Amino acid sequence: MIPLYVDPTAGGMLLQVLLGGVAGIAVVVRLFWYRIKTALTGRGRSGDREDR
Amino acid sequence: MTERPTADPGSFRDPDNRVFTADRQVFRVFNRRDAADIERLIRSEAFEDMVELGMVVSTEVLEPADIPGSITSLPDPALVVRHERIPFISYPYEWSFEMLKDAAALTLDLATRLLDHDYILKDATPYNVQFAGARPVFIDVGSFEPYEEGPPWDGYNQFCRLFLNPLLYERYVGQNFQHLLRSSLDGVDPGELRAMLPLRSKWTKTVFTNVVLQDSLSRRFEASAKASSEVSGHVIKRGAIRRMIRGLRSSAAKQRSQVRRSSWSDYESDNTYDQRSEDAKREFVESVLKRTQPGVVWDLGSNTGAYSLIAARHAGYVVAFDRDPQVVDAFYTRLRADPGGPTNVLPLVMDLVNPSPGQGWGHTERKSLADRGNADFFLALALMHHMVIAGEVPIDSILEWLASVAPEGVIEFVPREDPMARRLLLRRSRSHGEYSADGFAEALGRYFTVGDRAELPNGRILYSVVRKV
Ligand SMILES: C[S@@+](CC[C@H](N)C(=O)[O-])C[C@H]1O[C@@H](n2cnc3c(N)ncnc32)[C@H](O)[C@@H]1O
Repeated sequence: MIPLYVDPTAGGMLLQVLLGGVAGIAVVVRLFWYRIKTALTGRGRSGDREDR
Repeated sequence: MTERPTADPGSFRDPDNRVFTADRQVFRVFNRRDAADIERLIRSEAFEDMVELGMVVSTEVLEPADIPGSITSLPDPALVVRHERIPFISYPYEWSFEMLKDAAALTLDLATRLLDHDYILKDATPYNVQFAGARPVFIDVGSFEPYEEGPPWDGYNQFCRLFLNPLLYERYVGQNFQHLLRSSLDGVDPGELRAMLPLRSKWTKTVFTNVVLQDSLSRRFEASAKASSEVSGHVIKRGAIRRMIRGLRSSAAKQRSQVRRSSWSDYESDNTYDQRSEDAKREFVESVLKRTQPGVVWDLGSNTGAYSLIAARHAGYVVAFDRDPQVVDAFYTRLRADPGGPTNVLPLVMDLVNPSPGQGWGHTERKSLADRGNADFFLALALMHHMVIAGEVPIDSILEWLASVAPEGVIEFVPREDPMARRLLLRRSRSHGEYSADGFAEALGRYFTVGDRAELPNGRILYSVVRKV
């Protein structure tokens, strides 16, 4: 595999957001909430299919 | 100054700067728009301090007139610097546990210092660190870039994969990490490590945050456009980045290897050498080295380095290879602990029966041992019986290889009646009948001219040899 020069990965990014403080925790909570919501309604707004 | 510059194949991934060697010197060429930022940093006092402290390889900005013609002819060289040459290039899968830890600490200390001066490391890989003797030094000045507050640190995940996770593996799985890094140049993915770690480790803060949580977030949001846009809209304060780096620094520093001590760890105190034989061996080895005054010595099967230390007194540089990570770690730790000790000895983990291959893109990104140059002198002391009996390599093949390593050296022959050789012969289906003092002497003559020969009181035989060409 030839990786990108550096792939920071979603986990690597989000973990830093999370550790960054209260505002960061809110971001991650919001993302989880969004996941639950799209799962319940079957599909999110158009164009966000990757979030299933 | 007419030799064509050779691009270092290990640096090709970074499009903004590349390394060239020409006339045995190392140059780094920046051709990007922010060469000016790098130049400002390199010319700053902060950078000078980092070089002075030995954290960063010494670097000088070349004036146009001093740039070798072969390099000015490259497309668009905005900035050319010259680096001090590291005597022997090594890779993290050849380092011991404490070496990897020290390289991690250096990387993070540097990241913190840079942040103080509005710069940051754009990556965090041990391939940016080299060892000059037992001292880690950061070599990739091209990884420095101006810091702007807001985004997460790009080096975080890479730091985990290539530094923290191998350390955690050795701590909690209790196995040596080298084979993981040797087989995966990208290191160990948090998800991969998570599957291997015992449950009890998962409640530690370090593992929970950097392995479990990071992996869970990756799994859930890897393909999420929403997550990417949230991250890019979010500002992470400089202080938070600093705090995270401090946390990683202490997480790495507190890891201890939990690999069980190997049978060779106590070799120095627990060998079959009587004092007289040992003194005679030391004297023989030292007298040959003293007479030869070699540039680079390779001590093959160095164990904890007793003979490397003797060689260091008479040679320019000594690379000490042993396949056992525990003995390499012991030697490294001893060198680090002794501030007045030799600065010209580099201990490395290397199984000489299966040495590091050429790896990565085109087999050249990480060089094989054979492609990293040769020595001027080798020591092969109490090693042959391991390679022949345990490694099943024919004597002739070993001698042929030794002759390719260096033009001269010292070889110790351990007879099959020796307790150590007998130990190796246990449980072997092959009797290795060809392994005899006479057979060895005869084979030796096919590749080398013997200078001095000494039979020790314990029956072992030392030869000083010069290769036949
Ligand atoms: C008997 S000790 C000799 C140490 C030292 N050279 C001396 O003469 O005192 C042999 C050492 O060789 C190492 N060794 C054995 N096979 C090896 C191999 N294939 N590659 C590298 N080291 C090896 C062992 O780990 C051990 O530390």
